[in-house]
Amino acid sequence: MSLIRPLGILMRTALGVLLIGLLLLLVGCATPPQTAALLALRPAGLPERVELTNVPFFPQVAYQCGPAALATVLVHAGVLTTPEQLTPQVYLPERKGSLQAELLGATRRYGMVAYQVMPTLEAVLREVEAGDPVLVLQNLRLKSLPQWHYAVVVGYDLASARLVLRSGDMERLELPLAQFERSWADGERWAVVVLPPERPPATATEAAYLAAVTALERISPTAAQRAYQTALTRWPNSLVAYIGLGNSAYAQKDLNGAERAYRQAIAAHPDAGDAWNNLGQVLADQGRRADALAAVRRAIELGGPHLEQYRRTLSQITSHAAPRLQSPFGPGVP
Amino acid sequence: MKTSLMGYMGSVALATCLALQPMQASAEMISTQDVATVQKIQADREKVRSFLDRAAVKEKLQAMGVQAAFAKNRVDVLSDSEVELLAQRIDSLPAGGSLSSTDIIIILLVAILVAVAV
Repeated sequence: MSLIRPLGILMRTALGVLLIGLLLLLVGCATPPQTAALLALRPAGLPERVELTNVPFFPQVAYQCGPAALATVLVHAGVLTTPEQLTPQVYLPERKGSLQAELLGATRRYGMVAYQVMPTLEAVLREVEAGDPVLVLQNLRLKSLPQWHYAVVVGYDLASARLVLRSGDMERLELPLAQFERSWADGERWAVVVLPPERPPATATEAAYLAAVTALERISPTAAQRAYQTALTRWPNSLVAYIGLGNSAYAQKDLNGAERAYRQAIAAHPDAGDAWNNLGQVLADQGRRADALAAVRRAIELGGPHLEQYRRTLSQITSHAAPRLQSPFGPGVP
Repeated sequence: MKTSLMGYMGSVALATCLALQPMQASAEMISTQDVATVQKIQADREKVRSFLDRAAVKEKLQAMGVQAAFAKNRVDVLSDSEVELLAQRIDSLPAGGSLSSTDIIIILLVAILVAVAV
């Protein structure tokens, strides 16, 4: 009796451990959904195996995976930099890490477009296939006790279901797709490609690409102007790209360039009040008061969510009773 | 005394800057970001409207006692954030659209539309 009881407890405990172990095994082995879909039905036009061997490698120092991974994609995109140069810009010593927003911000400071890739494995592979390494955020530990890590996807092999990454101090880390997907899911499948403004990403959609470029416009209007042109070669009718082209020219005090872009916007979208408003402003800056008033009045007629701003533009133009004889940037072209 | 002098010098410097840049001070430009935001809201509204055009969705709405045409008119009255929420849900529907996830959106839609109607 006294012998059997402890034995029973022992057996129950062992059974419990076994069950928990089995459960963990099941959870660990279930193929995550995107990997399963990708392997079951190979997306059209995706070669079986790609590896970008020309992507540089910067082994990470201490906790600084952010600067190392960012340098990898920036240098590949044509920027001359090193992790050491990036560290003061993106590394927070007290947090022992880098924030995503800061990586994107640093990319823009170099005049590059930081494009957030759709959160699918297929999109990541397509970017790699197009020759662009993909910066990713992974959680290397449990969801409840995360250890975040930046790495760069430089290759894949669908036959062996593996990804190739530059990661930490590993120049060539092969990771099973399923394992990567699990580590990637916790960070909301964050994936970014870095491109010069002349070239759109392979998987770019109009709205997402323009979101990336408007973020760049605030930091580098010159680079953004080129990216808006890139957007227009792919989406020739894009109102946002035309306005962006005008606004980035205006920010560089290129009034004629801005006027041209707003007029193109109006030609493609005659009802775009925003384009009429900005055209009015640029004409006023050129000292062409009558044309400016006509443009802004057209914007007010069209109305829309920015009507209050159009009215302010109008009152500012009318309050400058006498037209400036000379605009601060030289005489206006009639 | 010292601080007020500094403040005075500061305001002089600021005024000089403004005088040098009349264009910047008077500009009432609509930012590219604001144009993009309006575009996105319009696209989202269109997405919700075309969702209501789907035959399966019309049928479900009918079964719940809501006229599809009535629902479509109501999309204009939805707030931007409501439209954004619905558009996100519609985007996340798997291709082919499993019926159960379509149902969830319809219920959400009806809940919002009814709240608007009341």
